[in-house]
Amino acid sequence: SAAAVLELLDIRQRAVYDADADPRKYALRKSQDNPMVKALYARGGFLEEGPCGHRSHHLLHTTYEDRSAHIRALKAKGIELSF
Amino acid sequence: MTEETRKRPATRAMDLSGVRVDPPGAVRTMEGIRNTVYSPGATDPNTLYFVEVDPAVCQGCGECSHHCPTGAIQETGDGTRHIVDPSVCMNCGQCLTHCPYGAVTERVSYVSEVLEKLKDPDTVVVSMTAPAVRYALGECFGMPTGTWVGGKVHAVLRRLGFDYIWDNEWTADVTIMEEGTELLERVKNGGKGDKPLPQFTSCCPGWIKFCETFYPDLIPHLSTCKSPVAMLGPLAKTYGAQQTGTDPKKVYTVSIMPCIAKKYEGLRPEMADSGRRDIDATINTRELAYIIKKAGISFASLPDEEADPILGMATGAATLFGTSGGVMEAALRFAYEAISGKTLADPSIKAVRTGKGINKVSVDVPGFGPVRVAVVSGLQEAARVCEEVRAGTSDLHFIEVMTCPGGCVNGGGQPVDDSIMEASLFKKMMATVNKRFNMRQVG
Repeated sequence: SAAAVLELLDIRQRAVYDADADPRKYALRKSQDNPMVKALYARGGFLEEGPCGHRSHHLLHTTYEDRSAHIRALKAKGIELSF
Repeated sequence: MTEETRKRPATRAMDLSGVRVDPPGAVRTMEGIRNTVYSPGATDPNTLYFVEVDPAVCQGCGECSHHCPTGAIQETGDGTRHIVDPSVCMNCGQCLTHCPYGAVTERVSYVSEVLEKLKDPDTVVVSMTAPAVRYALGECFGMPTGTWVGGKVHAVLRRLGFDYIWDNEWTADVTIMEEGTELLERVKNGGKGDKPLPQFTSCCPGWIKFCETFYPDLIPHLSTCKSPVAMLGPLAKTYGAQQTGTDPKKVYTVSIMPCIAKKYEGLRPEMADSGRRDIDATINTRELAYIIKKAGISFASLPDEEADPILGMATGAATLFGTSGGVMEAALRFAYEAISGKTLADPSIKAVRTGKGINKVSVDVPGFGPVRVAVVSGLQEAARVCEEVRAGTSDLHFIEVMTCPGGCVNGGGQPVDDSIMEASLFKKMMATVNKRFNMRQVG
């Protein structure tokens, strides 16, 4: 069963690489060549400032939060964790 | 008529009026996993259990604890397992996919809400499908493991009445532009200040919560880029609405994922940059199969169709996001050309293709020199790399981390292999004996 599962993982991954290399599934293989991506960043396009511009930063970038306080509280109660 | 609507195929949506919708709180088995129908609305995701063990079904074998990277699943008094606290659970669902008894259940399921929205003529329902879904959904319909069903996924969503078939493979390409550019900026600045090197990828919601929880000091190393679906949500409600002449208020975005942790991501309060919720619902591959079967669609016989192009057209680089090493390979295809100004003749960068563990690779880029990268599969391994970065001993530029072994194709929301469900008789017997013994000890 463990061997079967390993093989399953492997088969799905291989299928991804096969699709990437199959021009009938994906005619282009580089993100920067995608015409609909070029249109997004083109002059007059929705993100015409280019990647990491102001509008990108507002819509497509984010911030993260320190979530360690909860973990410290659990450990203080004596709960053991892997990290 | 706008450009986008003119290009759409003429496929008609089916009539869903006869499809019964499960009431909130109902428990339904979806591809062998029990899900509770529950749409949390504006609930803080940190208080929710996305997966939980059913003690009545648990045999105490411990297989789940074995696959839990953080130690969140622990033994109770009677030998069964449970999640000690939602803050420790990264929502990856590896416990669920490895439980031989189907004892791990899902507690958040938007299937009913999605069906209601599909039935509502006033709601413009947008599909946002992750790359990995198209490498596993076919298994739910008797197709061999690893069958690519990308074209059929677009076809089935159109028949279910999704108004726009947009796609996270398109935003995976956008992610490469944003994240690749961010990396080049960090390299140019020498990793100084608040934008240090190495840069970590940020697509995987299990990894992001892990970093925030156990390595918060490394947050400046995380790419500020949202994941592809967290980019498509706000783009659908701004750019997509604009391109199609749709009132953004009417747009309902459905994230379709190989993952359980994406349900947590979709509920993050900060995911509201379009002026409303960016992601309205998140379902996984098993739940999509459930909806398709409920609607009575013969999936395997569907034709291949294209996504709606403007927020749907994608490259091979984008589909690679479904596998461990894929984001890195896609990013290198971009970075190589952006740095060197030369064309990368062979896009296949096989050195970064990774099954498990940590894979460190150096790729020579003309005009720059070696770009040093690492691909990490699994959070235990991620912790080792985090320790190196924390200690300041890492000389890497870019690190990809995926929580699930081999990447999203093996995510916690994917169809579960029959061989796991059908655990050996011996193992089941041992577990039952152990459980009885433990219960007697307690009693």
